Amino acid sequence: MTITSARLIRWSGIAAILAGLIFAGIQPIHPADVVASVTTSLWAVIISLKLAMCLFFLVGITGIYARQAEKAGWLGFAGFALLTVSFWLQTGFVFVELFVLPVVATSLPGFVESALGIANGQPGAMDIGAFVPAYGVLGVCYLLGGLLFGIATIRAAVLPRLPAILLAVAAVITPAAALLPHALQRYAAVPMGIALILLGYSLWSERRRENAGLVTSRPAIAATN
Amino acid sequence: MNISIPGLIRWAGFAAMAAGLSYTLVGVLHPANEASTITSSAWIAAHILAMATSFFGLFGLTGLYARQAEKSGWLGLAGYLLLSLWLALVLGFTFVEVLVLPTLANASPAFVAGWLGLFNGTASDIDLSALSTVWTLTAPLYILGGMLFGIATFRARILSRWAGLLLAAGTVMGPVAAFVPLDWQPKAAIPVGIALLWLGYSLWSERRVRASAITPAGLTA
Repeated sequence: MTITSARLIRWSGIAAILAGLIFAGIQPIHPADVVASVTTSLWAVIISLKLAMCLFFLVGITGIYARQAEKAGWLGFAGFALLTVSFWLQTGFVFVELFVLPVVATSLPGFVESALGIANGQPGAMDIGAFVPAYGVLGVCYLLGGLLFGIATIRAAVLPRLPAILLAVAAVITPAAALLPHALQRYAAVPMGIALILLGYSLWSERRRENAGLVTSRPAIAATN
Repeated sequence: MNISIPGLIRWAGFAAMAAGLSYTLVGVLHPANEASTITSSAWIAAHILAMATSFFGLFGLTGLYARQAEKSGWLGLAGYLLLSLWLALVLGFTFVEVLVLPTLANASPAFVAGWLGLFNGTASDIDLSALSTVWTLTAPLYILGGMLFGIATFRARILSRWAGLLLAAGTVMGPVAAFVPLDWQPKAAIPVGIALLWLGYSLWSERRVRASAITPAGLTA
């Protein structure tokens, strides 16, 4: 089987589906963000899945963007870039949750408490420096990126609108979820996960365009040369 | 200005140049991995640059791959995926080095010693076995990924073939660093950084051939 751009984009749909499944699926079983959790094996399993989710997300969103890049315009590009920055940073935070927090849980519980505090909204006593503002950048990029990317996807009308609306709404309601008890906040991730599954599925299922796409994308390219 | 796929791929060439330049500077600036250096500005600068390598590298590599996806075949896809995964793991390590290690330098010298032990081979009291496994995994990703992507680029004849060869040679030579003194080890990044810079330039500068050389089949995206 030869590799074509259309096939690569289809395959990236699988990555988006996997990212969405993990993102939505881990929320009900995610251990509480407390020091006692980080040394449990459930923590190791869930956070490993989160690390995989970040990587699948980066691949999946690239495919979703590539499929509609020309139609999605600058809005789509901005949304894609912001979401990529957000999940790139998230990869770093998850890496710390997985490999650093369990190791220092006994010797430096204060550090673990402060590091978990940025997510659960209860800042710890220990000053953990640039870790906190970096998480703020992540949050803003997630919110704005999801909103812009969702709107651009709706306007581009290449992929289904419903998941695009869901994506935009899910990103925007995330800060509102901060008003809820922390155990419920997690569920703000569920619509985002579902949006990713649906967008990924629509990429994966449009195999007919593998041939038709050769024709449809041609004029747009010719116009830029 | 409208956004087009060839335009995006060209911009990705710029990202690859940024990644190559920052990785070259990592090689030039990175001091030895010793406890005495981690609060130095050179150490912090080197790791911020390494984060930039990861960020721009992921975009840049995607563009380098997209430009030659069909011609570079399975070899190219394998190289692209392995090298991208390496860039993602590099982010994890440098993220800790920039955002966590300075905080822990005073609070937990044992953790810092254990962390540096991952790179300079000294033993420590802290059990970092999981991290050590991940760090070990980065070596084959880097070597195989760089070699396959470099060879695939050479064979595809779209971007600079010599830059592809330099990437393959530079990454394959990576393990040689284990045999040189600590403060020379980071220099192994320099040829790989130059190769990325060169590949990025090759992608960025080919605007004239876009109309003729890019086949419609290459742009189904």
